[in-house]
Amino acid sequence: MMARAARTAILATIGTLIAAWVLFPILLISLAAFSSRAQLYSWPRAIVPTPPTLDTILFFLRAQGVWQSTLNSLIVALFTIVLAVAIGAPAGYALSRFRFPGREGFRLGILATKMFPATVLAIPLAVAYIRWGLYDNLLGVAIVHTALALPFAIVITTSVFVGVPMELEEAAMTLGCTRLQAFLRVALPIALPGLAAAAIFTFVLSWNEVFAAAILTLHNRTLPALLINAVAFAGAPLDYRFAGGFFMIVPALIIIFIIRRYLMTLWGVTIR
Amino acid sequence: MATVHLDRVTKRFGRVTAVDGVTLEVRDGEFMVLLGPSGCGKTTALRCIAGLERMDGGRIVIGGEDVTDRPPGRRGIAMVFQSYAVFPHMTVRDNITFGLRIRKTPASETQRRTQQAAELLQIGELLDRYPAQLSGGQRQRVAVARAIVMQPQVLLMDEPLSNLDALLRLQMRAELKRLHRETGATTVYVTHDQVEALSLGDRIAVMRNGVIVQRDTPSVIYNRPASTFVGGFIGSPPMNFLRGTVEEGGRSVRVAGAALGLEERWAGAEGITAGGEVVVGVRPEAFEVMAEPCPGALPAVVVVVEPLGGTTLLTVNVGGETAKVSVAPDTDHDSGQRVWLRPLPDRMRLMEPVSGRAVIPTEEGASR
Repeated sequence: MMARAARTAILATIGTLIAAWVLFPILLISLAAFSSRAQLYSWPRAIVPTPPTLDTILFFLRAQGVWQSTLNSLIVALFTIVLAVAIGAPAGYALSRFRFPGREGFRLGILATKMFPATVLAIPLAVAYIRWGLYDNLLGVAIVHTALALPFAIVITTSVFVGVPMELEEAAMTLGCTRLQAFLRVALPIALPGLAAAAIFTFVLSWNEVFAAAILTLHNRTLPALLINAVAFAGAPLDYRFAGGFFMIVPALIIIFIIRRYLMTLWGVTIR
Repeated sequence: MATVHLDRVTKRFGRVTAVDGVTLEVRDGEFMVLLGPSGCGKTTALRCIAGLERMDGGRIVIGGEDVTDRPPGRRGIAMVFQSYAVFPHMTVRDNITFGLRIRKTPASETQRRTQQAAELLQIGELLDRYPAQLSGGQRQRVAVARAIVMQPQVLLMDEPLSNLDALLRLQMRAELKRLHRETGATTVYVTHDQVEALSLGDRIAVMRNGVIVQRDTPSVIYNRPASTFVGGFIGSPPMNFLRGTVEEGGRSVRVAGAALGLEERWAGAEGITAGGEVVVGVRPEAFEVMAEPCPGALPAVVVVVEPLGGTTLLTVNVGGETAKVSVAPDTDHDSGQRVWLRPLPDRMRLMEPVSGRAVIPTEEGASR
């Protein structure tokens, strides 16, 4: 009993520390986002805003280019979702259903793309994009995001389709369905929540992606590209930075919270 | 309703031949059981009939039509899967009507047939539930209803009872038998459970390593197994096999020092030569157990006594070999006791010691 209690205590401590590591900066940013500009620049700085104010957020939302880049971000995310699901779901289905030559190599290849450092690709990619006329183009950003999201999309959809027994599709076929009908009427509806999770995860990934977006765009900035530019090169004031950070975090947080149980299927575990 | 004809059906997985040139004729309205240990190819054979496997050779003919190249949905079959394969995202009603909707059956007929199938399977009050709200036995009934509502020419069942607990299995077994009697559908039923096979089948095809080793009525399969494999696989406990030597030109066989008289039919058979070795197969209940020595009886020592309620099972030692003998429950036996076992002459089977084949091959459809 003692050992078990000790184990629980240790696990709880580690869990709390990791959570604090992630949550503390988010808390600070959130508090700062509701502080007034004067308060942010005063010293010593008060942690808790007194009184809380929306001025900082409003200042950010009224800043030049914010709404346009938010729209750009949404457009890129939408393109990315469509592309990643359209390519990733069939790949996941194939991996879950068929044994084909090169299957293991394919699986490994998916992971291998994650090992390649994106920084090395930056210059060649920018050059290629300029040549192809994709530079400063939202579709171009979406294509890179798709490449980044595909491994996750494939891994998630594979586990989703593994969870739909082949026998269900076979049963549908014995009842008169063609192969395609069996997929559309049986496998797809059952897989839909999992596929939605993959789509939403792709959204978060695209929404947060800054590196490719910053390199490949000039005028058509996505929100992270706009922010990084403002912070790193234009010397944006503190209130802009905090409000911008808060604005970036919130959608991702909400979405991750909603789909957290599907994300677990990445490791083949489902929390009910 | 239709006949099913498997003509030299072959299916390989890589280098493994799962079904090896199987030929089988299922008669109209017949309940045919494919029986065998796991990995014998019975399920693969069934999936070939269903069209779920691409065959490497042979033909499938259903109702006189060659369906070898037709997809599962156009063969006139319906199938019940081992895992039931009930669609979890549909209500029971939608599950049952699924095939009819795919076939665009008129609504009134769909409703009538659904009602009929639901009544037959006694699931009328479950129609608006989802599978997750059903017990295993109820899901099983939904799977069967979904199959029979199609009024298939042939009903295929792949170990449909193996996921049910023992009591439910017993109940469903009788239900399936009733269902077959009421629908009269030609049925091919796969199982590894020999009791299921004996109780359900009009005929049984026993499979091993991708081939059919014997096909016949349950009683012939049980009483006149074609080989030691069939005798050993069917029956619980299985058939006893005792080594013996042929004597008197085939009129008797010597086992454990005792001469057992043989029926005349064995005398001229191939493989019965004086001094030749044979294996004598005797079912556990085909012994007469006596307390005194007598001619034609094997001396044995009781090792274990197991009262099983309806019968009592004796494990005995016969000249160094172990045998199982079932006796009436009121008989008095103790371990260590000496007994004499007289195999009933008409229940003895002689097998070749190497191949395990019966010395007189069982002619298909033979009465005894």
